[in-house]
Amino acid sequence: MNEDTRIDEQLKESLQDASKALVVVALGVFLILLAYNGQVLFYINRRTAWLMVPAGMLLFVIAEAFRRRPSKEERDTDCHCGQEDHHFAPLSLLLVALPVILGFLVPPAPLGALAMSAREGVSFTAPAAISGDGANVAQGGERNVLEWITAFQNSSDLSSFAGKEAHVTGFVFRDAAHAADRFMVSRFIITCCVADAIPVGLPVRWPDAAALAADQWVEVSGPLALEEVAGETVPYIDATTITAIAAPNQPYLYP
Amino acid sequence: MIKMTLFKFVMANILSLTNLFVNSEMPLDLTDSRERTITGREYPRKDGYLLSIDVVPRKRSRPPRLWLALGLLVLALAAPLSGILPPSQIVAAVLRFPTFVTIFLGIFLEAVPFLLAGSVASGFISVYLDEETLARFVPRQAILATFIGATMGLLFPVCECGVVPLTRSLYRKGLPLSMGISFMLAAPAINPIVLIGTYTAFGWGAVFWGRIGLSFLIATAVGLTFTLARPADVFNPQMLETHCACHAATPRATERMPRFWLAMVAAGDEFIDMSHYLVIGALLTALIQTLIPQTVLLGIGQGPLTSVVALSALAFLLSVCSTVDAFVALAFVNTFTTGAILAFLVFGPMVDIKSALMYASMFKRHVVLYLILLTFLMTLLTTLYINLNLGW
Repeated sequence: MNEDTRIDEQLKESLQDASKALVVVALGVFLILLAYNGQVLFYINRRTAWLMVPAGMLLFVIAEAFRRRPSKEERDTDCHCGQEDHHFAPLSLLLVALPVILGFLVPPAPLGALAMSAREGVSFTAPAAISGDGANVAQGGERNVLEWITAFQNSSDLSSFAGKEAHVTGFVFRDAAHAADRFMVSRFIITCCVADAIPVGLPVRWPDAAALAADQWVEVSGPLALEEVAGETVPYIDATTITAIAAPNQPYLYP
Repeated sequence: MIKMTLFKFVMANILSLTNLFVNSEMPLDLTDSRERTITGREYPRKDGYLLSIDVVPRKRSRPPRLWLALGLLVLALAAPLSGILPPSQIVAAVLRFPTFVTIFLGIFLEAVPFLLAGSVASGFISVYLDEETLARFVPRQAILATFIGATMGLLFPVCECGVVPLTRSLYRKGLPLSMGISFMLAAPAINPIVLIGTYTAFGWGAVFWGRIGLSFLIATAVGLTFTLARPADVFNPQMLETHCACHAATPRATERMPRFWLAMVAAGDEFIDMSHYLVIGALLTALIQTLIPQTVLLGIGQGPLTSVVALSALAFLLSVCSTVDAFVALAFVNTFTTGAILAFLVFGPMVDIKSALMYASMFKRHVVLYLILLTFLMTLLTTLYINLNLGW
């Protein structure tokens, strides 16, 4: 190995540690930023969202370790051949940075009606064992979409719901099967992260339903009514008011 | 009907894709940073350090096989879709790009803290644990070691993202092959945190005890199978690089680099290395989830056999972290057999898209495939038995 290539190697290696540190710091900043502005809730359950902060801090410590790693020359003896990523490939680091890059380039958005169509056919009744915790109801508040569905499923007599006032938030979902005056006020249920999202929704009757944009977040108020669909009694909201609102900070419901 | 044909077509494509991975000669090297040829020359270097094998970087002449495979997967998914769906639906698929990104980031963000924890543990092992200490704790007998590996899985709170870096560093310190396998398969499925989650979701019952029993059984059995294998046939060349002092031996602390920082550097290297696999696994999972409706999988059936197949496939493709998969499984309680739920909870933590990719960082590709198949078949047999004979 002549002098030139050795200097090259050295330069390459310090460059490698520097870019590793850079990627790790960028990832740490990304995690902490997501936790700070709350957008982390677009991606994972709030139960594990706090982990972003310690993870980000740990990444900073690791970056500092990369900065401290002495160059090969100073490290004297034993590590001449086996440095894990001895042959530096910027492309491979780019892959690690991909989440950060996508996170900044693509505007963060919670799952919406479009994601629903990829999960078409998942029924709009909550899976039996997933249920709203009823905390809202217990505190005298109102039922959300999931809690209404749970209440329907736990009830033996749906007719007792007829005429009850519902006030729920969700996004608009319509597909070809919906009549012009129908849509679903929908939410996604997240157990762990968006990979396990399950859509739930309540049918709504609203004369101008066809004019509502898909994915628009709305507040729906109105009394519940019952109808027969394919031999089954199904509750729906006979909406009296519909207000367009901005997407909530916490777009998902948790079982 | 169309859905079934579509599904068969996609599965056929995925299978041929697996073949591509298995048969190609090139190692599944996602980073191409370690591509090198071994010339076998011996000569002393300037520093007097004698190398028996000279490692020379190989010119990158062809594109990494993985990108080819990814492209093929996209094509495989796009072809049937374009045949069946009108163009407007293809536009819709493109519009789903934000959904794809959201799911990708969701999986990645959920996994990062756990991968980081595993990497830090692995970093500290590589610096603080020396081979002699480990050797004293490892039983000589391979069979006993395999059992102890699975039992360790019951105790160490690591999920599937954390267990791979941990096992990798233990292997470098001389952990027996079969012990590492049984530990790696058991830990994500039956570690204390997962068991608390399973208890919360299902209570004491068939699912809780079944999960422990089956996971332990399968992890041990697969581990025992590997007592018959020679490590040289199992590990990929990178793991076998023991000629180099710094892979096997404990790095030496200096005044400027106390042991703590050495451990953190090792943790960082491990984290970056594993992140490649995590990112690719998350990309694949997100792609599949964006393009294939879950109903295609769940539609496979609800019979004693088909329900098991359906939920195993779902567990593999969802790649949900094992810490919370019990809650996800709750969603299937009323529609699927207990055997199928157990398959979801036993097979899913052992093998899914991202962990399969991470295994590829240690093992040769065909070994990864054996691991997947062996685990799947054993899950299938045991849960089918439960469905047919025990009536849980």
